[in-house]
Amino acid sequence: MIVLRLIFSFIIIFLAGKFILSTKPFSVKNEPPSLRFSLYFFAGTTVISLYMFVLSLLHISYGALVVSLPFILYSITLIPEIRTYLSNFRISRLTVPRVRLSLSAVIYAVLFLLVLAIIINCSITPIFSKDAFAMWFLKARIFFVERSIPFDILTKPFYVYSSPEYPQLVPLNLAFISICLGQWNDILLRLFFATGYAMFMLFFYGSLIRFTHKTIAAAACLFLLGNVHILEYATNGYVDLTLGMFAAIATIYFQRFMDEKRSIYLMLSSFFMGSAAFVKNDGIALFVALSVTLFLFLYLTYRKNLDMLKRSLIDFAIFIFTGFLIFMPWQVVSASHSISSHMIKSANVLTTMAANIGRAPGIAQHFLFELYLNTYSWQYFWIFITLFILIGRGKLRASNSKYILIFLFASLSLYFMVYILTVADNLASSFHRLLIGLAPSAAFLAFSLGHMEET
Amino acid sequence: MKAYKIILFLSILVSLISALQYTYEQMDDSIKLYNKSYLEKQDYVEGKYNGYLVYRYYDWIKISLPKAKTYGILTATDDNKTYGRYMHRLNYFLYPEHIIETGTIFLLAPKLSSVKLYSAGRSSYGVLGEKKYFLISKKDGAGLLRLK
Repeated sequence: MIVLRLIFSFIIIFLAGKFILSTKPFSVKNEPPSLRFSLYFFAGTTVISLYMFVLSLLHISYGALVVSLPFILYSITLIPEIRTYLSNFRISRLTVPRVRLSLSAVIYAVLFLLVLAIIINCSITPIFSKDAFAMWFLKARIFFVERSIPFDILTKPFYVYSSPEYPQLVPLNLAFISICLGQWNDILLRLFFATGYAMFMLFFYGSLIRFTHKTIAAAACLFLLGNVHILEYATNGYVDLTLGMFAAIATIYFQRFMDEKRSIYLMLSSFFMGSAAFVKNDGIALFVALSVTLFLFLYLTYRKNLDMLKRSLIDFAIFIFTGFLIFMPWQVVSASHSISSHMIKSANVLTTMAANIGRAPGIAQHFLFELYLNTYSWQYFWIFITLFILIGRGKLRASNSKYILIFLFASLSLYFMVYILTVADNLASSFHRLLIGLAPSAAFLAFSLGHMEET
Repeated sequence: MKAYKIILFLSILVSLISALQYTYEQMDDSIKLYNKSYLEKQDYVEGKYNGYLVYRYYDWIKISLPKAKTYGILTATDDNKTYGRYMHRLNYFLYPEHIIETGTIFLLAPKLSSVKLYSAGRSSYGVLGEKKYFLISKKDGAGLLRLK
């Protein structure tokens, strides 16, 4: 029974994603089915969490039916579509691919094993990591028990360690699954992260084959999602990889917007980067970095055509507005409940920066250490990324990919500034995790450059 | 072109090794923990990834402590990290019955395997966990309890 309830909760998440991605501004109807399917999950988590947030503001208590009802009703409208699909479906049309021993076959097999191992492990072992207890699962448990976002509880001083000001996309989704389960089960809840991992693998592969060929796309999946640091954070209850996955989806659609100049891709990019900022406050830095990169791209592309430049400013405004619509309501509401960051205390940013500027060399040194010398956590990930970018620099200069590199540097620069501003000396314990937010986008850049070199 | 192929091959090789190693470890854990109780699973993963065992206490604490009070946790060592870890886990497991507050008095417990709780409101109340036994002050009407 509990498995059926779990499946039900995931179906609702996928339906919520399908609902938003079927609307005109975010329509993904031209994408291949596997890509669409994976996007439904990520978009669905955004929709469910925003909807639950609104319910909480309206003082409507969470219940399985209360949250699911709009999406159950929406599913009724899908009946003709499902009927058409089923009537066209023939088992005889399914073809079993011929398996030949090749490098790509080995990579596919290992990727399959990875997903299988993670799903099995997540359905057997409970959470154990510090932040999972202290932050994400604790808040989800509070939402599950209280059936709302109880600001009076979150604002209690002894919960300051659980960063109550952090956005609630993940805790609200975990609470929703628990409400559907009818019980708190932190073993089954880990499947939320496992599903995210599997869906992102599908998306990442499906997106990369537009830019490079299949073997390199599969290698990119293995390189990114088989990295030991990524694997550790795939299911340990931290949300850094969830943030990274949202950011990468946004980055990939940003690349497609630059290549094809279709506004729909910019909308999708904004939607998913806004979602990243609703996963964790670090995502706001990524949103700002992508906004700056977009502005730069639009200006440099259209600066000789004033009409186009003016028109592109509307695109820019829509990008900012869409993202804001997703992550700003929480920021406003949490600020109105006096939930402030315990990391940045100073009201005067410039004064704090001036006072802390002496920390800059140490921070820069740690950045470099973490990127290239700390093989314990990241192994050789960033060394390979740098080498791929250096080898593909010809394509980088000639294509729009250079803007993705600008985005990565802008994000690192913002992180650098935040470290100068923060009160706590948490560089060693946090920077390697911040890099998880950038790693999927960096891997996309590095491997999408491979095609030109290969042909 | 040649350099690209070499780097690509090396990156695949490194990833293959780490992915297979991870798959093996995950499957190994899954086989070991399949059919174990929740607390046994928690003890295993905590012991493996964090190096200490605390979960066996939680069920007992949950039923033993008077409800609707705020407690401060006293750590097994004076190390702030350990203190935080206990506090985070207890707050997670005991919600909504109990809340473990930060900033209360620290006392040293003799072993890492012990947990002491102290009531912020009632200094006479104390809980001492030692190996598999817990002693509650008699003022609160309990004696020596043994964990399951």
